[in-house]
Amino acid sequence: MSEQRCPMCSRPNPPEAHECWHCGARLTPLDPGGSASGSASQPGSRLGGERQPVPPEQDWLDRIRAESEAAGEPEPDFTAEPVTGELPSWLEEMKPEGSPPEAGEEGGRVSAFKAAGEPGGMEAADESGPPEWLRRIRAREEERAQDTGESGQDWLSGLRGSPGAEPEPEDVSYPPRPGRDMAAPRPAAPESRDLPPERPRERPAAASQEAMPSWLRQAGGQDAPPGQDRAAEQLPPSGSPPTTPPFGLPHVQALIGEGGAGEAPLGGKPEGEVDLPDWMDAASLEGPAEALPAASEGEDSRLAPATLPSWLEAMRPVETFRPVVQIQTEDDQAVESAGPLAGLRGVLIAEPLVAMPRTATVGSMQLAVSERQYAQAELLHRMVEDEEREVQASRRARPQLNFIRWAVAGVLLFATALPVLSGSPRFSLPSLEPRELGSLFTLIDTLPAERPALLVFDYEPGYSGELDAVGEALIEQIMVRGIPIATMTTRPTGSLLAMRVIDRLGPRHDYVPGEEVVHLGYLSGGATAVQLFSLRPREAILQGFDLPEDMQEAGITAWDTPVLRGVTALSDFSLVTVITAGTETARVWAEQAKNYMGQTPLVMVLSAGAEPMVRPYYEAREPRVNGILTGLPAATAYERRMGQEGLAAQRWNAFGTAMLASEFILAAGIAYGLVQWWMARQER
Amino acid sequence: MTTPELIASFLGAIITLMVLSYLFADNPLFRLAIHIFIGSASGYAGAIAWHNVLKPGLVDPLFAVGLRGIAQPSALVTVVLPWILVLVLLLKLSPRTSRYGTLSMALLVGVGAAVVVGGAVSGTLVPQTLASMESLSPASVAPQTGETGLERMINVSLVLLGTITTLLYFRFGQRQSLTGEGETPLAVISGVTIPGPAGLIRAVGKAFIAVTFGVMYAGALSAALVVLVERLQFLRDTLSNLFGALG
Repeated sequence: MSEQRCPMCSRPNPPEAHECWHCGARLTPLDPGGSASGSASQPGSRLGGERQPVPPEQDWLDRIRAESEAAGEPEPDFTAEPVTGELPSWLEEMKPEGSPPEAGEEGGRVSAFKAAGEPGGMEAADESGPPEWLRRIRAREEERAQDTGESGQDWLSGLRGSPGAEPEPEDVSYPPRPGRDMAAPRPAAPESRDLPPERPRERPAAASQEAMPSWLRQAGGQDAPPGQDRAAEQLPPSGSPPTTPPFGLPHVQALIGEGGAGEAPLGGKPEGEVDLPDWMDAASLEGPAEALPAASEGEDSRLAPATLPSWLEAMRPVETFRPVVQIQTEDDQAVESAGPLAGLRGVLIAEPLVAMPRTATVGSMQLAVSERQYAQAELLHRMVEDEEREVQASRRARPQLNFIRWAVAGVLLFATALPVLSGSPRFSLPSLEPRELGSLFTLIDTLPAERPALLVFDYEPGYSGELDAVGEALIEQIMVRGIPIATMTTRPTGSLLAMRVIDRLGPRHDYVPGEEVVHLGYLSGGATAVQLFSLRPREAILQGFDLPEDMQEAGITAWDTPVLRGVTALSDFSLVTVITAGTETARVWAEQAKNYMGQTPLVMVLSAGAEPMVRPYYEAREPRVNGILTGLPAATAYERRMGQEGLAAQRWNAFGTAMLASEFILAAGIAYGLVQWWMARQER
Repeated sequence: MTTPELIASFLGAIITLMVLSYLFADNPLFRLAIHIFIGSASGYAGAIAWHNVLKPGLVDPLFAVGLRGIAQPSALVTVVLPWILVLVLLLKLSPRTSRYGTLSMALLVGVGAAVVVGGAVSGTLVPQTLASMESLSPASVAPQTGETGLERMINVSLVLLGTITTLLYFRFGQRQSLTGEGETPLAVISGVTIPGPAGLIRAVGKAFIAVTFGVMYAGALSAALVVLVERLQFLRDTLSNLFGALG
């Protein structure tokens, strides 16, 4: 981990930092422990740590007692720490409700925790012998013994008479250690020597299993084997310095009595024996063996030992948050730097709980991402990265000659140029003509000569090579009949094309500009303008195009010429012919103009590529187009009908050879594709 | 041929050759010819627009009415209002003031769309729909081509079949993919999959569409060949005239 986050402000800090740079909170946990309580300071005596059984050779109590007897020191007096309050809430919650009160309890309160001066407390027991509750227990046991006929020896007297029982050490008082114990240092009530430690002491060890309440058994109160007396191990010998609990049991300092306070013999034994119940013995056996050697070291070893049973230890809420707490020696402990306990050393701090390095809640979330989502995220990531990437300018590839392109171009150019340059080969003019050609020829032939025909040149100059040849035959027929002609266009370049065609054909038929032919010019506005022109031609096109100079000088417009003098609507024309190469233009005229043309026919002179899309307008039940002339073959046939040879006939030979070459090229391409398909199929 | 016509023909021949140089690849001569064409076409279109549209439709009426005639009601509609719309439309040139030209643009787009849609419905949709509902009676006669009898029945049947299969090819209401995935084939003969009924119908529609595109391509090729012939004849005539003038 490259950085550690402050548990208080969640800001990042260097990994080697011990305090937050931002808020000053401690980053590394300040482990409690040390030698304050003796046993807790030893390695392996961690709270909640794994406890190891004490080897039998470590009979420290025997050794201490022997030393004490040799020195003739008085036995220390153990005093219980006064507890004025109730049990901790976490301990109270663990106790099941409705459990019967047992010896030593008054209303669920252990008498050993009572403060000095309280009824049944340790102090009272010291003054007037055994406490009241113990006397009641003894009386009850005697009554039971009498009822059952057993001997009058209760478990307590049995313990007294057990071998190895030694006189209880003298009063040993321990000075309070400010800042070390859980409870605030105060004058503690003396612990009574004959005070039974806990509830199980109510019955002998042999019968404790049956008499133990169920909630206590479930909570971990496992009795040790009967007859095992560990009380002597809990008490240091008289005159010897106070030691840690012998087996390194967790030290609860709140339960440790203050030195110098009134004391009472534990268990009521004047010999100084402390008779622990079996369940507590079992807990003490679980203490780590390493705690023993260091139990007598340090000044804190003068504290009275007290242990928590394993079931009680297991219920400490701190365990739920911190399974392992390294308890350090006092010298190693840091001085509290914040809060009301600032300046104190070895404070049981809650900070390690909150300062325990742990992963932030937000960062520890793991998203359930599917493969598809992951792929999409990767794609998005690449897209974002590609946006920032600088695209290298690709080096322009050198143009390479394409053999197929050259071959096709060569064939087409040769086939087209050969008839143009040499006049051969010659193809006969088509004898067959399209079916619609006859009706169109008849239509033009029957037009009224007094009404002008409107020619719309709606094609680009690039198509003039085809459409000039196709439309010339029809225009010549109109001119042969002497029908006045007016031209217009919806394309800016259309006027020039119209003028070019009329200038070439007009002189042949003595058409005088302004008299038999007039150019209306460019109509801007697309489909809207076409509809407007169909309704009111004079308002759509105001002047005209390329009028004779004398007319321009006289201020005469195209509508004032003899050609268009009587025209006020589109239906006034005898014929409307649209020459176009685009299907869109043809569709606009068929859609917008036909509705306002009345009986005036609409004829389309089309490029060959536009015919398939316009023909449906012609072959409909109610035709929107009354005649179609499309392609060079139809134009050639039309010229042949008229008995003359025009542009279409002049280009027929070259067109024929070019079409033949194209067909060969297409056939070769198709054959090449089929061969490749067949070879690929054979390979598969 | 006069000298100006000869020079114009010669320049036209040079530009034609420059355009044909595209056969080698995209080269500066081809691009120069394209730029010349675009420039001359734009200039010509601008001149046409001024002489045929702007001057007679916008400027001349203003001078004809004069300053005193602008206040007349008829002039407000025929002169002032067009000028206002044109000036407002010019505000579209600047991004800051482009929103003020929305009125003119909305007028153009709205009127244009209404005209186009109305014409399409009345001029294309209804007539073409009726055209696909021709009678199969042998006695009926086509109004334009004069077809009758069996010939007309065959033509009408082809139109009906092409219309239905083409519509089905575009999978209106079907969920199969264009490649026929998910459909059980009718048979597999020598590795060739014979599609099921729905696939067969779509295949027929696809064939009609292919034939249509083929006809359009053939027409475009025919038109291109005619143009090529015309250009070659132009080059021949130009060279002939040039050599004749020189010689």
